[in-house]
Amino acid sequence: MMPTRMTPRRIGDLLDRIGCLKHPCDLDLLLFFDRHPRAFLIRERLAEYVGYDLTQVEHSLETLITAGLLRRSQDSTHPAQLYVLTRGSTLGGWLASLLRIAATREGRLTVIHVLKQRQSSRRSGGGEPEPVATARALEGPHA
Amino acid sequence: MPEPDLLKTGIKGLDEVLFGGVPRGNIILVAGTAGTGKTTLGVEFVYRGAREFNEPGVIVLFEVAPDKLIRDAAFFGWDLRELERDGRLKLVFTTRQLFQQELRRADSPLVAEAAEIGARRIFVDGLVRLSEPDGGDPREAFHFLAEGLHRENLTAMLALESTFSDTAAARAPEEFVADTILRLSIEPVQRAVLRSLEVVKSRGHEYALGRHSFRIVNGLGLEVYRRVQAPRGVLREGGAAFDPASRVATGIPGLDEVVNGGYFVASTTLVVGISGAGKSVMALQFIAEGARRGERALMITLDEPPAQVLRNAHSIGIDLQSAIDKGLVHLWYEPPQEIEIDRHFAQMETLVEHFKPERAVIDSLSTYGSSLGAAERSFRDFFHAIVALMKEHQVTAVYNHENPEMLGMSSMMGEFKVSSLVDNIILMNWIELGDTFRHALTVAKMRAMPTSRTTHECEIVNGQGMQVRSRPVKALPMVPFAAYLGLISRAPERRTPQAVPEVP
Repeated sequence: MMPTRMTPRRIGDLLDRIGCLKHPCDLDLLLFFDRHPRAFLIRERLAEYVGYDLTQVEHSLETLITAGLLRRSQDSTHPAQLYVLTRGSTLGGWLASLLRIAATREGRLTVIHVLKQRQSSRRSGGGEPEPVATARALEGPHA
Repeated sequence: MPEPDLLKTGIKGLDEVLFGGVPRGNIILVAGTAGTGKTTLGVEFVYRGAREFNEPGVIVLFEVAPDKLIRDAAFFGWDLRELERDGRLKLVFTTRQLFQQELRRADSPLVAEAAEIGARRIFVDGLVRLSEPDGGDPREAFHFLAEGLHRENLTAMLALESTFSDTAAARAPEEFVADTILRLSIEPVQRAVLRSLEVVKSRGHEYALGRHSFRIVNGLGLEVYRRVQAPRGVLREGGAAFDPASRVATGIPGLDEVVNGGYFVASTTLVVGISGAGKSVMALQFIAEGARRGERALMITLDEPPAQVLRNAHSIGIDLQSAIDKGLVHLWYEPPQEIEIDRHFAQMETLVEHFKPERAVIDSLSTYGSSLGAAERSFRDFFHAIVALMKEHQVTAVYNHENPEMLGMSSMMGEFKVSSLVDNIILMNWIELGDTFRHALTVAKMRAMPTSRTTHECEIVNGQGMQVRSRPVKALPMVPFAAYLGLISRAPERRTPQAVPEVP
């Protein structure tokens, strides 16, 4: 169960500190890699596991890798890549808190809700472009 | 012949079954249906390697999420996260197809991961029958996999899913390529289940054949118990009561005279009789006599829990607790329900090897008979193993056995025919005289000692225990067979004195 004091506002604070998470797919990829911290997979399979389209998954992977939360094997010509969750990054503490919250169904939905709200406000404020995602993905594949 | 370089699994009891371990570099296939313990075995193989033998390892998973594996391992006290942090373990999640492909590539990132920590062991969980992408020979596919693992100098354990419980039906092509095959099973025994492990084959070394029991123990992991019937070695097989001079006092007043001064050292004595005939009392006195002489004694009780045994001892004037406190007596109680015979025997072996008793009692053998069911061969094999164990360690042992017949006996052992395995047999009977059942003792068998097979009266005196009464009358003179008719028919009749031929 989500801790009772963890309001959407507090989740928002946590997301601000982590900084890089913008899209529900970012979160779901993180949750996947939390359960599978060292995964050797092709991107298509990864997309199937998390339930988003491939373009969105590639975008979210880049987000996580750029933020230093995820490491990917160097050989980009290889069909499969090794993804390693970098728990020891500077964001490690905040990340652990977020993953703990999102480990429950209720917690995950709340985080996704906050992410969506932020997406909408960014859109209305003319912020960064909307990541490619299906409507189903935005609702969350396991919601 | 060069000694094989054996890799110890570190799993309790398994290395004994494998006679020291598995030749390094062998591909070990663990086959079994769901729930037989393949994953636990494989994870422990890698965990023990990293933890106890400084051999880093990799665990490859296809279906189970690593976090669940880490959680489940914690139940056994295995901290996989700590090993990961220390760079001694890597858990890799991938797909079967990718794994199969990667082992054919010398520059695979997956292989590089294993090399990065200097992995020596790998466990691949949840392998199913492999096939070539073009639908080719699965045996060939497995061969490629084996070659890849061998190239990386890894000793690999591969858990192969099997959907059949029937071993013949489950024979997969992989089994022909693998170097070592461990088959895990769960079989129903009466209404319980018994886990067993069989080394089907293992190239490059000897191992104990047959199906060995094992348990998955919380907080520990796997414990494999070598099949009780499996040979233990020259010392065990050659164990004997060889000392013709020494005697072991029985502790029962009057009985030592009947048995020529006591039992032989390391001999096996069976005390047979109906419930209440005095077997347990005799056992307590035998144990107490040892303690009185400063000899260590082991009492294995299956019928009565320790508190009751202590009370029984107290009622015949034996302070058993004091002997236990002094370390002279070890009382081991194993509740008789669902005794797993291989495990029970392994525990007995450990006790005998560590406590080093000079005398031992098992009260009673009949309880093993109930646990083993009506399988006479199993009972005999089990008893044979106990006798060999005691003889190897020169333990003078007394076994109680309940014979269901109330008055007289038509068979010494009932349905469990093990009398040929023992050295001495003492029959305890009730004799009905007037309105009272009185205790009678007959020494029916004494190997390497004379015995008169005379029936002696004995009694259990409150506060003192059992004693064999002296015979106040002389034995009758021996009458020759020729004085009787119908001896073989078991209804002999005395001939009339005129008809008895003269003895020259």
